[in-house]
Amino acid sequence: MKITMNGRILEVQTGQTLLQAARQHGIHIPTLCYHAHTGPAGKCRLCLVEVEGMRGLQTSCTVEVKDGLVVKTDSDAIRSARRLVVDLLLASGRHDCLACEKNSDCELQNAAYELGIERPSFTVEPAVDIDDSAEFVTRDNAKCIKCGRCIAGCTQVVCNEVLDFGFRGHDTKVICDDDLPMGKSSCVQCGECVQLCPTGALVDKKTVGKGRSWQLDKVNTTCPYCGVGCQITLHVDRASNRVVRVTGRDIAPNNGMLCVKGRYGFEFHASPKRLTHPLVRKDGKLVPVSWDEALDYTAGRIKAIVDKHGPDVFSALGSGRITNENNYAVAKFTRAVIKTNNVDHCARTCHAPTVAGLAAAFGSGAATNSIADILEADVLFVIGSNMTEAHPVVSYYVKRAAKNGATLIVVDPRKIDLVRWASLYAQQRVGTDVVFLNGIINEIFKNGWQNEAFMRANTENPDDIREWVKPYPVEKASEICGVPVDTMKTIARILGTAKNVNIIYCLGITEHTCGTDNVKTIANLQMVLGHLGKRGGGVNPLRGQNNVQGACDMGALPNVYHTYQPVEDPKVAAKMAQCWGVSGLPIKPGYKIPTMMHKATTGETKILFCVGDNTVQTEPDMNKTIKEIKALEFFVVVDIFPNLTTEMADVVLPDVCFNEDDGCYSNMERRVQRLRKAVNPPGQAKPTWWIMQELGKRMGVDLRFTSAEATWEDMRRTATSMAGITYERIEELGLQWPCPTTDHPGTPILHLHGKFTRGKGLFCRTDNRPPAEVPDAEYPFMLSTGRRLWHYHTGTQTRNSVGLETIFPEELLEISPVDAARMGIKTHDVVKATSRRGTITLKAWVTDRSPEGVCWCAFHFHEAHANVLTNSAYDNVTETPEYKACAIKVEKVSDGVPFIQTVQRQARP
Amino acid sequence: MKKTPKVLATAADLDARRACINTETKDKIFMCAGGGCIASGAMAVKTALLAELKKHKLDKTVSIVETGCMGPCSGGPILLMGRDNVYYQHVAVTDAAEIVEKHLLKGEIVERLTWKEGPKQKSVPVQSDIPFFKRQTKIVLRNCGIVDPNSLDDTIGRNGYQALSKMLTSMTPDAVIEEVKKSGLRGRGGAGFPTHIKWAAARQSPGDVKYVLCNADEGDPGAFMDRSVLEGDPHSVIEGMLIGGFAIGSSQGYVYVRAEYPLAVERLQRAIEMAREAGLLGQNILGSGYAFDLEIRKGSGAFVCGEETALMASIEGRRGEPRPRPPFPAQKGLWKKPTVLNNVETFANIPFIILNGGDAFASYGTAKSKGTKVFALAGAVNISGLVEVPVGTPLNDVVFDIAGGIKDGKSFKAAQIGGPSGGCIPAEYLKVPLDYESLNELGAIMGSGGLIVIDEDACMVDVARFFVDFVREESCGKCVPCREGTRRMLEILTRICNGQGEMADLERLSTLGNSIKSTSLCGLGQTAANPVLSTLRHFMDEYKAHILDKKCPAGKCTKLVTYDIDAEACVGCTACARRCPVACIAGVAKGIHVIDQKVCTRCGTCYNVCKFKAVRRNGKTK
Repeated sequence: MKITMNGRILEVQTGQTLLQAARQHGIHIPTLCYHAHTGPAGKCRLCLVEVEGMRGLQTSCTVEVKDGLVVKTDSDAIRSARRLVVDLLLASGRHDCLACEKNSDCELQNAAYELGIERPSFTVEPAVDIDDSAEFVTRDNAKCIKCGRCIAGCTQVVCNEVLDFGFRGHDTKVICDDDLPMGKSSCVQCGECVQLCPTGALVDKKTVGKGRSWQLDKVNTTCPYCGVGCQITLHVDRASNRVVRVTGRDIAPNNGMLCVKGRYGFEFHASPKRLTHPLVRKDGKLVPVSWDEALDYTAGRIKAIVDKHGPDVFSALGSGRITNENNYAVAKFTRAVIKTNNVDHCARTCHAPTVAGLAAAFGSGAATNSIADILEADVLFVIGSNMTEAHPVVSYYVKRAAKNGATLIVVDPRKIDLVRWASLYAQQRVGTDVVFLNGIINEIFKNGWQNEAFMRANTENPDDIREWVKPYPVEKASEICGVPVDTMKTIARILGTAKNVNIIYCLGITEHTCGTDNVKTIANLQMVLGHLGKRGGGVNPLRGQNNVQGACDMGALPNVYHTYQPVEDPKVAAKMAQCWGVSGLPIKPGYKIPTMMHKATTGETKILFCVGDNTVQTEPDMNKTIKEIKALEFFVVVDIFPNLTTEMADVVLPDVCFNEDDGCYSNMERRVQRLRKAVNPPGQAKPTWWIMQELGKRMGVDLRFTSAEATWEDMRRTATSMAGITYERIEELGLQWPCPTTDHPGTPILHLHGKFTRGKGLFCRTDNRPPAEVPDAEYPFMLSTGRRLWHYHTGTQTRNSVGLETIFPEELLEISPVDAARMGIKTHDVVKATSRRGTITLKAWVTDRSPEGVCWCAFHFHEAHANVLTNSAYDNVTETPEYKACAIKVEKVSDGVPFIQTVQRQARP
Repeated sequence: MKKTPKVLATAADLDARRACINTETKDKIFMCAGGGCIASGAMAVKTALLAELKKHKLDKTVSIVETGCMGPCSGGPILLMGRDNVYYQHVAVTDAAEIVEKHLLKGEIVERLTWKEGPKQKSVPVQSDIPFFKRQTKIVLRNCGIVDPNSLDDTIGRNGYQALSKMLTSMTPDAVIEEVKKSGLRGRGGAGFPTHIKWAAARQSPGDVKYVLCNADEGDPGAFMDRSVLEGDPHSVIEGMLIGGFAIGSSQGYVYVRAEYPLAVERLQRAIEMAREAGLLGQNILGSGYAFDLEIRKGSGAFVCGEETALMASIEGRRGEPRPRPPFPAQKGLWKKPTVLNNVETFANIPFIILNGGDAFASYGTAKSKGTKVFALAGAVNISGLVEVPVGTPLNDVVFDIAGGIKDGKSFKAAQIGGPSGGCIPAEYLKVPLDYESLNELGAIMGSGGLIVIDEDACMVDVARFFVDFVREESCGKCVPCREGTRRMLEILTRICNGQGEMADLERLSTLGNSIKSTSLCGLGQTAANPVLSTLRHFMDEYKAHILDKKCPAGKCTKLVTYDIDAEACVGCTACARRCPVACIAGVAKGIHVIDQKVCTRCGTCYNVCKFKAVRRNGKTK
């Protein structure tokens, strides 16, 4: 359809607003309250235009185009109306630009400039009202123009629902909760409001005074935290070699949104604690040496030991934290130089059951759909994922979908924050997922809700599953899993009768001795429902680390090369040998982490080459891990910070961090995204690919790693499903594998139309298997572990960034109000938690997140570390440890500082 | 006598029930139980009357009917004797015995309590002879002051629900809309939008779920039309909504009423329950298959919630803020469903239109504005209260013929019509016909029908300031021009009232006012400047006096007024000194009094109480 705007005839689309049409055709209309993310509000009255046949001036942000409309976007009347608006706004507060952080980046300032308003013609309000209480966001109400973008962002975009308007008329102001200071409110400091604010009313506190917008270099890159892979822009002060601000980019997967860590946890790169020089242990002490000395020494030791004992005494750890290139470098070094497949990484501790379980069922072990698909589901089934803390940006999509009418079902042993947005919540007992899910599948069959057509057409054994779930009628399942029969029936009905179900899960499913079975049961459920291979459906595990998907993709696994080419396939080995120019590549799969660690104590593992893996803190049963590491003959650690693991190393090599080199990460939706160098690394820190190249050289193999991109290109030459992804193609937006050729558009949805990667889907039999350790009289509590919003993994990044530790300074043991009352424990009392493996002392947090009999803590703080307590029992398929269940006892040590809870906040007491 | 059907399953049942209702009034005393009369003590009068009736053993034969508002609120408490239509006003508890003994037992009229008319205060005992009533035409208020709002039968006895019955037995939704179109009915909430267009649009909007909303969030200062209708004749509103629901295809209605109207809420709630019990609300109404039900939603005192989109936001439980239109409520209204919203008075007209035909309604009014309009008369008139006149009746007739002219023999200065969104009409336009177009031409609006009469004592700058302060206070704060602009207008007006104004302020006010008008989001902002713009237009002299002469001609603006005592005229009566609230007048009996200007608050009490024209305001005596 066509409209006429300022005499020009424009081709426009149905549903567009006049403003959108104007912007599409390069016609400028000033706005303040409109933002593409928050939509039209019609509040600021700046975008007024004249529309023939409509009375008075119209807000172009709200009027939809109609064929034949005649519109004027500029006239005396329009200009005078706009002038009034800006004039009134300038008088409404303290809009003094001189020292304002938003100077040059302020939309009100731009509007005043455009309209030629030098100073307001009315008396200016004298208000001063600054809220400085929050850690990262400063609110200056005197600069607030009440456009409501922050509120729309908070309530409709990230759905944290903290901000709203309070009071009325001229007294209207943006408030947090019931007008609490932001720092005392339930705000989680995601900073979406700051990013949306058109003026200086909301600013990033830590950026203030660090440079004008035009003085800072903007570098686009990928967030170094969880597996969502948010696209960010680093605002870099070249002079100080520092990042001073982070903003979200308006593209997939995050569309501008970030979480507190991604937006505010960036200073670690410039921390004085960084490792800056190679260290070699001499006389029991780690001392700085030159790179040559360190590399010569390392290569020499490795060569000597491997020559003597054979290649399998060497084990290497890649990492979900380092780039694809660096993982590939570690894996290639291990295979091509050492000639062993003993390479693994921390996916072992998290999503290995996903890779194994989904590969068994579907033929591919990755998430089937894109993150944005969440908004297209009509039912979201979330199990074992505390996403508001561990994957906040995914939770924004889920909450938004729920608010827009999707039915959200949350299944979790803990009453996590997401439950607030759920239509239905089922609290299963820890470790009873198979029983719960089989009960649901049983009920679906009982009522004929299964997608028979899908099962017949697309799965191998549709009749088996019906039989296998027969022993799990909901009545019986309910007794074991603790979810009421009615709730189970309702969930089965909702799932069974939905148009589109998206199943999302996380480590609550995988970190069990039955982790692979859990994943397989989820796959079974979705194949029964048939919402696979289409938009809005799928089975979508949330990958935990920034590049844990990529570390798998790059073959930092004992059984596959990059892009999942099996090591046992001689054809694959031959191809690699030919392309790499080496011979004798190992055919036998290597050790998984628990095995390689265990074999240290038997002398079968003598060298551990560990890159970006704080092994001491991340493996279960810390005392056992320490014992194993001590038994090694040679222990090399490549990392960016000193930590408990580097302390035990023979050689420590300083690595670069996420913004000090080029590269790419693969996010949880299989999207390969660029990392870019923004600052120079500290001291002599070097990228891992360079280290591997140098070691290879010293051991007689040229690995051809001359740059990050060269490393990537080397990988691509022998890759399958990622062969089509080049740096050039992902310059702006990442590509989702499979992407086998350079003209392939990437694959947002796997198994399209039910055509599974493995051919037909395979139902797998799963049965109830309780956790390896369950509470008893001596250790009466079940301990489950995980991640907190404010911290990441072993804390090397978050604890070295300003502010996160202020918000959440120490680990807390979450305990239910019932148990706490019985034991006389109050929030912030000091308690001792003891398992059969160790004891930690920490403060308590009495919260109804924990059901009776269940405690919870995280593994971020070495001072009180969950992994001192956890059980090293593992899933028999993948050797993934059971972090989610072990038995502990809790004793009160002393009273804490009396504590009054001001708001019902979930992410901290 | 036939048995009265309790549940009205068919139209015939309704007829049967009506046939059983005794409409004889001779043994009834109608007592106004409108909000105004209750406030002036009607319920105590009722108790006293009941006691007297009992004493004279009349309690079994004579009943007292509590009705809604009869109109002349300033005369309350009011009684209308059913036997002979004699009208008593200002009835006190102590009058009860006399009324019973004299009027009921002896058949004599209690002259003391009758209506007094004209300068000679001639007694006019019979209601139908009283000019105040005689000159009105009652369609909306046809039952107000006659039926007991708490009695369904009273309403049915006066053809209540007969329009519903007629519609359900003989009309299609399109025919209903056609009839409303023929009537020319325009929305009585203020904007005057043709009702049938709204209804037709909502009818044509696709969707199974549609809503009918009644706006009873009457918020204009001095307006009480809708309250009176809800208090006096709630069933007419229910019936109007039932008809609206049928016309657009809705089965659920909401009445959004202010919580500050507890009596209206109570009576409407009871009426809804009675209608539901009788089967007039709910499923299969009168056997027609039509289903419709009603619920009350109470507002919490935000003026802006009278704006339709803000009202819907409030019903939905959100912050009461308007949103831009389109989409109009007829397309996307309450919970994004097609919705019709009309105000109380509009709905109260509907049964009349359906029962008597659109033409009957259209026979009243002007070429463009049909029917009647209810006005709430307040301010400096002799009779304040509720009146209903054909649209187009001259302002003069309402103020002087019906409301009896200005109090205390003062002169008419202006009529403020249409509440805070309206404007002030000066004396030279007293002949203006009260219809939408004529009022718009003068910079006022018909509005919902608030009519405040202003006499010579009022300062028009102060009046403008009062209304701007009101809209500033009531602005929801969503859009910039209304939120910020009303505050700036108030600042300027305050400055002028304080004698700190400059001539450029007038230009500023007018530019600002016109800009607010053209840029605001909703009706509140778009009309917020009307009181300022209309006073600027009609009372420029007063503004100029404030600015140039630093004088407030009416003596209202305290910063611009001085009082002093003319030594030659003062006789030393001490009246002023005794009444001065701040004791700033010195003087002994028979001595000359002096005002301490430093302490004087310029309240004007001394000026008003001085019988010797000794106290001067701005140098002038009374």
